[in-house]
Amino acid sequence: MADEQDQAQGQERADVRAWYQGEQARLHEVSPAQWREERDAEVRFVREWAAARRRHVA
Amino acid sequence: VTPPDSPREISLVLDTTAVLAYAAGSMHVHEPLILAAEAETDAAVPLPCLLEAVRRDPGADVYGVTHNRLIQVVQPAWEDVELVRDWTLYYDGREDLAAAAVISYRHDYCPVLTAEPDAYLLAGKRPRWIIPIDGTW
Repeated sequence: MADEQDQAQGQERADVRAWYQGEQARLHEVSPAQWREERDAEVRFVREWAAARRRHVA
Repeated sequence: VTPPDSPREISLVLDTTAVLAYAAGSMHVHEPLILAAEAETDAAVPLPCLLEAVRRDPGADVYGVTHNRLIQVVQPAWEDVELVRDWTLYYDGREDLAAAAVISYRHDYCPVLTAEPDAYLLAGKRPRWIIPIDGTW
C-alpha cells in the first residue's frame, strides 16, 4: 500500500516536472533578441497607456 | 529582503497566488523551485506579493518562503519605481502583479508562476512570460 502511494507520488512528481520543463521550452521558442523585443514592447505599451490615463484624469 | 547583490541569478518569479500555493504544499510550485535549484538559480518573491499573500490568508504558513535558501524575497529596483507605478495603474491598483511583472522583465526568460494568469492580460492577451499553475492544490 505504501509502495503504491510512493509510486503514485513519484509519477505525479515526474508529471509536474515534465509540465514545467515543457513550459520552459515554450519560453525558449523565441530567441533572446525576440524575447527582449517583446518585453520592451509590452513595457512601452503599459507606459503609454498609463501616460494617456493620467492625461485623461488630469 | 535579500540583498540586491545576491550572487544567484533569478530564473522564476512566484506571485501572490504562487506563494499561497507553495505554503499549501503545491507540487506545481515546489518542483519548479527544485528545477531552478538544479540549474543553480533562485526563485524570487516580490515583497508586495508576500504581503498580499499574508493579507489574503493570515493563516498561510509563509515561513517556508522567507526561510528557503532557494527563494529571494525582493523589491523592484529603485530605478523601476515609475515602471511599477505604471504597471500598477494598468493592473487596476494591483501592486503585487506590477512588481511580479517588473521583476520578471528585468531577468531574461524569467516567467511568473501564478494561479491567476488572466489577471496579467496585456491588451487582452496573456503574456508569454506567464505560467499558470494548477489551482487545485
